[in-house]
Amino acid sequence: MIGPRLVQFLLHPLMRGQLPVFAGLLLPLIYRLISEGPAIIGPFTVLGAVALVWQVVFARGRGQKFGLEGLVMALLIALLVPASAPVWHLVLGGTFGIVIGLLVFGGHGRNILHPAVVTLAFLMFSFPTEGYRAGIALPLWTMVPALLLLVGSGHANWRILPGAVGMVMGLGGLWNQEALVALPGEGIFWLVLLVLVADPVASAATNWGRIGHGLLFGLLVVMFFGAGPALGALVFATLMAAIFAPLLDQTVMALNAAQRARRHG
Amino acid sequence: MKIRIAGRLNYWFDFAHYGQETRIAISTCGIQGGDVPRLRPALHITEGTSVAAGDLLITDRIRPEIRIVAPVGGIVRQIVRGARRGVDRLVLAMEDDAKRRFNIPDPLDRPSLVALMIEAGIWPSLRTRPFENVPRSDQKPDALFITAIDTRPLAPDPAAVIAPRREWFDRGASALRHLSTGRTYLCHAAGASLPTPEGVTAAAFSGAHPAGLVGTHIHYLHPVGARGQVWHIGYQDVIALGHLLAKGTIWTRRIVGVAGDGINQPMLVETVPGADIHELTRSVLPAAAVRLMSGSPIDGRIGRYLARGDVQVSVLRHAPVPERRGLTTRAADWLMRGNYAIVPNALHERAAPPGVLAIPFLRAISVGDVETARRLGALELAEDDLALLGHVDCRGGDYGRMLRQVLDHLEAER
Repeated sequence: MIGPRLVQFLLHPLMRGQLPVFAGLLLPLIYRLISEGPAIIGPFTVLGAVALVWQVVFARGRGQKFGLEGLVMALLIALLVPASAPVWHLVLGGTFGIVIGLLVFGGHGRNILHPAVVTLAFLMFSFPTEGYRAGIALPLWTMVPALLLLVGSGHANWRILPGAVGMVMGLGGLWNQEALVALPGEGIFWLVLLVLVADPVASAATNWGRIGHGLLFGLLVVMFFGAGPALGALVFATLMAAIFAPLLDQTVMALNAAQRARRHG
Repeated sequence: MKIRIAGRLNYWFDFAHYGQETRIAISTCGIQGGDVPRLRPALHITEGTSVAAGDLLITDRIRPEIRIVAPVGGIVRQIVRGARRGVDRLVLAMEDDAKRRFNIPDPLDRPSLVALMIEAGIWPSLRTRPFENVPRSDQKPDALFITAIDTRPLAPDPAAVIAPRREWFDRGASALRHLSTGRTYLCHAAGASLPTPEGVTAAAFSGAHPAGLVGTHIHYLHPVGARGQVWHIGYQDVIALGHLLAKGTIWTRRIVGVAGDGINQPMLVETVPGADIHELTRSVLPAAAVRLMSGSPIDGRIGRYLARGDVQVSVLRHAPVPERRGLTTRAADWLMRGNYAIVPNALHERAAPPGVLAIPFLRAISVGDVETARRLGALELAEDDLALLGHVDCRGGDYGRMLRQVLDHLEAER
C-alpha cells in the first residue's frame, strides 16, 4: 500500500508539472536516435524554438509563467513526424498548435486540446501527401517507462486506458480485423494514448467521464482506421474524443447534481 | 452503525504518537475576533478590568445569542481593535482561580439549556451546515452531530482525551439531545469505546482523512443541501458543557496535541482555551526556525493564540532558505513554474469530500461560478472539507476562501 512517503513524493511540485511526461518520452527519443541516427534532432530543435518563442511572447504579454509544456509538445511532434519534414511545415504547424491549441486559452491547464494534437492534425490536413499520417515504428517496450511514470504520478488517469484498449481489440476481434487487434501491441498506440489522449487537461475531468473518454477514443479509432494509415486514425480519434470530453463531463455532472437533488432535497 | 470510507486508507500523513497528558502552566491567553465567524463585537470590559472565568467579555451587536465569556480568571491586559469596528484580539493575563457560578436548571429542558449555553458562552461552539454559521437560538436542527473522531494529520485521539472525562462527556452529550428535533449522532472512530447516552445514535467511521470530518458524517448520515439544517459540535465543547452542568462553572481547560516536525516528541497538553502558543511551546522548541500554527498542518492558522475549537498546535519546520541559489535549485524552480491553473491529477479524486466531483467543483469555485458550485454540492461543504484538496493540489490556491465566497453568495440569495 502506498504510504505517506510516496504521497509526499507524488505531491512534490516537480512530479506535478510536465517533468514525468518529458522523462517518459526520453526512451522513445533514444530509440529513434539509435535506429535512425541524429536526424530527429533537427525537427525537435525547430519545434522547441518555435514553442519557446511563442511562450515567451505570451508570458511577457500576460505577465504569466510557463513550464515544460512547450518542450514536451516539440518532443512529441518530433517523435511522430518524419525526420525529413520541411522546416516551414514545422514552423507553421508548431505555431498553429502552440498558439491556437494552448496559449490563446491562457496556457497549460486552461486549454481544451493538447497542442501536439492540434499541430499533428494541422499538418495531416494541410499536407496530406507528405506522409505525416504514416507514423513511425516504435516497439512496445519503449513505452513502459512512460506508462509507469505517467500512471504512477497520477498524470495520465488509468481509467482512460482499459476502455480504449478494450474497445479497439474488442471491435477489431468482432470484425476480424487483424491490424486493429494488433494495434495495442505497438508503441505508437501507447504513445498517443498515454500522452495525448490521457493528457490530464485535455481529457475528461471526472472519473466516469474518463471511462467514457477511453471508450469513445477506442470507438473513433476503429471508425477512422479503415480510412487511412494508423497514426492519422489515432490523431483524429484523439482530437474528436478531446472535443467531446467536456460533454462527457457535463453528463456526469448532471447525473451527480440529479443524484444530489434526490438525496439532499 | 459502522461506515467505512471505501478505498481510502490512511496514506496521507504519518501519525503522531502522543504520550500521557501533561500540564503546562500558562500566564496569558487570548481571544481572537476570528474565533466566531462574522463577529460584530460590543465590548463589555476595558483594559485593566478584572474578570472571573465565565464573566462576559464580548457580545455580538446583531446576534444576541453570541456571548464570549472569559475562559479563565484574570485581568484584561490588552484589547486590539480590528478592521470595521471589529476586535482583532483580546489578551487576558491569568491571575486567580475565580469562577463565576451559573444556575443549573433542573429539570433541564430545551429553553433552559439554550439559555444556559448562551449565558455561559458555549453556544458559539455549535455550528450549522450548510454555511457553517453559529445557529440562531430560535432555529431547530433536523439532526445534531457530535464529532468525536479526528483524522486530520497529527491530531490527538479524541477517545484518549474523553476517557478521563467520561462523566462530563456523557452528561454533555445527553443534554445536547434536547436541542435536536431529530437524531443526535455521536460520530467516533471504529474501535473506540465512548460513553453513548441513551437516545444518542453512535456511528463508527473508519478510513483516511475525510473520514473524520463532520462534512463526511453529514453526507452519510443525514445529507443536507437546499433544504434542512443540521448542527454540529466538537467533543471538547461537549466535555465543557458536561462540566458546566455538573459543577456550575465553565471548564477552564482544553486538551491540545502539540506535534509536528519542529519538535522531537509530540505532547498531549492540558492547557487553557485560547492559550498563548508561544508560551505553550517555549520549553520544547529547538533552535531551528519553526512555524507555530493553531490547528492541523493542512488547515491551521498561523497565530499567537489557540483558536476556538482547535485541539492541536502544529510546530512545522521552515523549509531551509539557502544563502545562494545553486544552478539545480534555479533549474528546479524554473521547471515547477505554472500559471496557477488547475491541472487534474488522480490524487484530486482521492482527496475529495465524498460525493463531490473534485475537478469540476474546484474549477467552479475558482472562477466564482456560484450556480455550478451549488449544483455540485457547495452547500454540503465548509472550509475544512477542502483543506486536503488544497494540500494535494499544491498550487497555493486557497480553496477554503473561494468556497466561503460562494457560500456567502448562496446565503445572500436565500
